[in-house]
Amino acid sequence: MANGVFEWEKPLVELEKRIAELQSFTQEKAIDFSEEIKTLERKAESLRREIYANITPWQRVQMARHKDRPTTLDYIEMIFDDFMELHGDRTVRDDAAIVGGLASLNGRAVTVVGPQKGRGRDTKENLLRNFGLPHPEGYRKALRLMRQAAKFKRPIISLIDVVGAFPGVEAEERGQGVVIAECIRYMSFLEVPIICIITGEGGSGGALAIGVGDRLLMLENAWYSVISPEMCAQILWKDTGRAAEAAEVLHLTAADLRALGIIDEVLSEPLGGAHRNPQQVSATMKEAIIRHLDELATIPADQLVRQRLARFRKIGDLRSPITSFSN
Amino acid sequence: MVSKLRDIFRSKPKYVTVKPIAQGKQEQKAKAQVPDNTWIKCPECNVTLYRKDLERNLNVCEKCDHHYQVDARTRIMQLIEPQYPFEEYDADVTQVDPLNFPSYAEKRERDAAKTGLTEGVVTGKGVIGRYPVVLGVLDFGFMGGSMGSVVGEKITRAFARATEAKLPVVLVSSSGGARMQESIISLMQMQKTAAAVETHSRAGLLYISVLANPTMAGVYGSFASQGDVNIAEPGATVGFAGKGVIEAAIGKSVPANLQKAETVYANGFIDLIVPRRQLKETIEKLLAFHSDGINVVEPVSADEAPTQEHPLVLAEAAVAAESSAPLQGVSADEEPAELPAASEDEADVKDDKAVKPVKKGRGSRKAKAEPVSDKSEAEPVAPRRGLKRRRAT
Repeated sequence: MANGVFEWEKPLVELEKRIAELQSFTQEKAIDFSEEIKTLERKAESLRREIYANITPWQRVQMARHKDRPTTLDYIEMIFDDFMELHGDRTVRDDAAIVGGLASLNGRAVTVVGPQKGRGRDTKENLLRNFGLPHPEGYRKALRLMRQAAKFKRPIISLIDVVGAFPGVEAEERGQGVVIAECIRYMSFLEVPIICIITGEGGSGGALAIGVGDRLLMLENAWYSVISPEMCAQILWKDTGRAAEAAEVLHLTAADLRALGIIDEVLSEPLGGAHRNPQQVSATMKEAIIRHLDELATIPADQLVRQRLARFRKIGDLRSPITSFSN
Repeated sequence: MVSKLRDIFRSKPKYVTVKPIAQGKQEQKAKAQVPDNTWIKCPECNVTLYRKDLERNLNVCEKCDHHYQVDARTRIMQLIEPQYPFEEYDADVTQVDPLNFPSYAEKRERDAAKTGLTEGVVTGKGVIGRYPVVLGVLDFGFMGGSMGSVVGEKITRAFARATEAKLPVVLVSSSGGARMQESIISLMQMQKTAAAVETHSRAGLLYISVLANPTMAGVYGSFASQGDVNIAEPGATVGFAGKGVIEAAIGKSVPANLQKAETVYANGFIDLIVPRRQLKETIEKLLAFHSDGINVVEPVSADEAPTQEHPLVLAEAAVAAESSAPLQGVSADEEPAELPAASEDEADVKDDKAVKPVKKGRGSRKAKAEPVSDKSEAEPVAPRRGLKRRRAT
């Protein structure tokens, strides 16, 4: 990928370049190319559709990782009327790789949490955010804020975009595994509505730690799996170069996970990915959040928790075997 | 004596777990391999050990105290009172390959034949000391003890049954983490098991988590780290991300002892490091601390065979009848990423530390102690002696 253009988009970019040339010609030389432009535009449109009709899981993984893809804070800014970030895990430090705080959604107070990658190509921010890879204190902060939400009966919106929990020496020393287990354990029982949206990458336990909810939604080009395609390829074939094949067998796309009954709804993105039109994606997310919150608001808290537990309980409940899922 | 030992696993067909066919294979293989298994070289101190001595010492090297991995059945035998039946749960729960994952079915078949198990965990009800408990043991020999839908489901049900019967849970983990071959379905087992732990906990019941070598990733990050009391065996590897993954992510080597149980203990995540020889008595003591004094069994003479009239058996029959109804309680790396999945390949690496015959080369995993139920045919006294010896100390 060069300059934010995917390899598979190159023919399209060529076409768009020619259209732009003709347009500037029209202006500069006062020659009418409108017919040619129209033809090319039609061609570009059908090419775009063709390209994205046959998009592979591995291409989607790359789209989920696009440098210009909106981050958690971008979505928060576009979706909520107001956001006040709160900091710190009250134990070790504030982990900037997870953000969280109070937000207002059409006048309704909610708590928002989510891993935060560095925006764009800003190296400084990427370092500050540890490339979006949280330490235990990040998850501890998220759990603290979610418990605070439960105390004040605020719904929780979890925006998930994380390759995984940070694999580092300090992370291990401070109990990465223990904290993730605690997040999963206690989030399961919080007596407020929880909506989780996988917006980009859903990397294993680091995603599930903030991914136990009453509704699991997923953007069209996001992925969610027990392991990244690269690591899967490494283990299966000792070759990270075969990540594309691994992405197929892991069934990590939104469409596959919907078919498997893991997620409730796929939220559509513009052709080419969320970065093509962040406002449109945010509007889609906002509509879905409000719709699901309205539904969940009618359910008594204890019933909500029971339903949440039952929802996960039936995944791999072998009294009702999962229908075999073919490629 | 021989028949009595066998009875622990075979007393009631209803609870019998070993598939007759798999067991037959196992016995044949075990016999064929006896000459190779007689002497075992310790991977830590290189001393050559007589296999039967090693087994009598609970698979701990007498010279350097290296704790070998033990299979699920041997572990159960080491912990429970042999005069009470071990009533296995959900032995019939197996699963087809939900995602048609490449070479998954073959690996499962291979490891089923190798271990004599249908899946990577054995759960059931037994007695430790005077205390009935729900006991679960992960078997590293079955796809690295990894958690897929069957393992997740069996552990969840074990906690649910314990919650219903108001019993403590003792769970011995030995696992590389969530099972890659079931992808998202494996990941979701982390939620199921962690929630089952919490439901059991909310009923005021005790959960003792024993972390044997290794306890990693999705298993550590769901139920294994969540005991009321976490006990690790000496030298066990305990952590979330695999060492190789950490090194790839940070671009330098990590301290060798970073994920040793002793380090994790020093960091505050493990209550006790307990050598295997003291494990049973430590668990008994913890059970005694938490006992209401009512849910205990009367001491039974070791020579008395389990009978159908025994209160435990009757109680279990009642639970079994109820369990046909829905269970209550749980109602109804270029990219740095944590290591969630135990591949066999990892299992291969770590299995090197399992009991290994001296003369056989790599891949001779059959050298691992066979299930006690099988062993009782050839050498009925060995496991018994193991138990007695430990009690004498």
